[in-house]
Amino acid sequence: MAVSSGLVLAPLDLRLKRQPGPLLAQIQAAIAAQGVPLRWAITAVQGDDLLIEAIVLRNDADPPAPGLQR
Amino acid sequence: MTTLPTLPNLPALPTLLVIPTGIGCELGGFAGDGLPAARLLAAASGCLITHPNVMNGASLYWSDPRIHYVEGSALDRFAAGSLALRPVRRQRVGLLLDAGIEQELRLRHLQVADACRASLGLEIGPVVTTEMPLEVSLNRGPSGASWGQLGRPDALLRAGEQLRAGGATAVAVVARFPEDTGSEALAAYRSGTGVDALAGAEAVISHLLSEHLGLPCAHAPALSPLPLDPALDPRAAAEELGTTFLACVLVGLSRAPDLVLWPPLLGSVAADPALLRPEAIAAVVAPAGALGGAAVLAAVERGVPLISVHNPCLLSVTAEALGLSLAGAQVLPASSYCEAAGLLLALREGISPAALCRPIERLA
Repeated sequence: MAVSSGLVLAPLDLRLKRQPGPLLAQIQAAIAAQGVPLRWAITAVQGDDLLIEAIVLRNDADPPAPGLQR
Repeated sequence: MTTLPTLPNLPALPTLLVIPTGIGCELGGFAGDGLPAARLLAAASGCLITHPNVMNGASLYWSDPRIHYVEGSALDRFAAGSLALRPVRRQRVGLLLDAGIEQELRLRHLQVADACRASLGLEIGPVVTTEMPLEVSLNRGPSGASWGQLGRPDALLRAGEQLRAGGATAVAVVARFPEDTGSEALAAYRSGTGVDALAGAEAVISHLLSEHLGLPCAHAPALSPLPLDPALDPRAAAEELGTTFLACVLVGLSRAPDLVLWPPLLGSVAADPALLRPEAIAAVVAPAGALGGAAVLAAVERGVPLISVHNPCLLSVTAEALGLSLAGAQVLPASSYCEAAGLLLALREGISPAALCRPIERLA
């Protein structure tokens, strides 16, 4: 991502219903929908749901998907 | 005088040690208090790759050629197979200072850097100050894990670019952190019961810079000294020895391995016998309740055995909760880092860990 004054770090809380198969790609895809994943962790597991806390990098000019920011 | 018998030289067992930052791990969640465990696991494995949170004890540090100091996001990429590590004799460590640091505190940090040059022989420089304050803020996630943000990530990245252009091969960042003297969270941390409130923001800063520059990076917060606390927990004590947290970062970075994109574009790079390749990772060690991070999941999904160590923390993201064994992962529980060291030694010797447990099941 190019360096511009529009860069922001945004915290995210995600609830992801896990699908069969490896977890990593599922998580990375879910976070990447909100920006460039910078740091994340699964912080709880509730049945098939993974609760994920993350920080993403994005440019203010790119609007995020609704309803997920902390 | 009799000579002591020597142990045969076993091939090393490259091992990742992960103790995530900012989740209150009983061991490793404070001021470099994961270091004794890292030293033990390095001795058992012969090659340990771990991150600054494990190794940094402010004014305290330990240099061991068997331990590779790799920033967290680079460790994630190494575990995922997209980076290799190239050990080096030394790095030229650029110093990136937040413009928000007051003059006296800034001078303290410059004197620490000078001390590391004069007394340890480290190569440090250039020094760059950000064009504006970085505006660090701290927060907590719903789990209670510490996180944080920067108001001006662009200023951090531009200063990092200046350092790289000036010849730095690694970057030590010092950002002004907000004081929370007198807060309940700080009191809990100092008494050994809380979460390191600074750690999450520190990780965000070093991840951002390391990913952008492709260089080894690590962070030290700039803070005013705290008032004396007679009840200070020993695990938090390293941070109260001096006026900065910078010395350990400079020492760690001074021999941090180069980060090499993997697989490389050039065949000559791939042929370098000194490279530590991601395919060589033979074990990953992590707290049993904190298995939901990028490095652990990537390693496990690549078939690397996981040693999950009893090390209580805020989280309960266990192998069972994630269904790792059901998915075919080799998960070896350990009740302590001592037991984890024994398991690494067994793997290194080619002894099946199952043979060391009772009861032992019949094959059929």
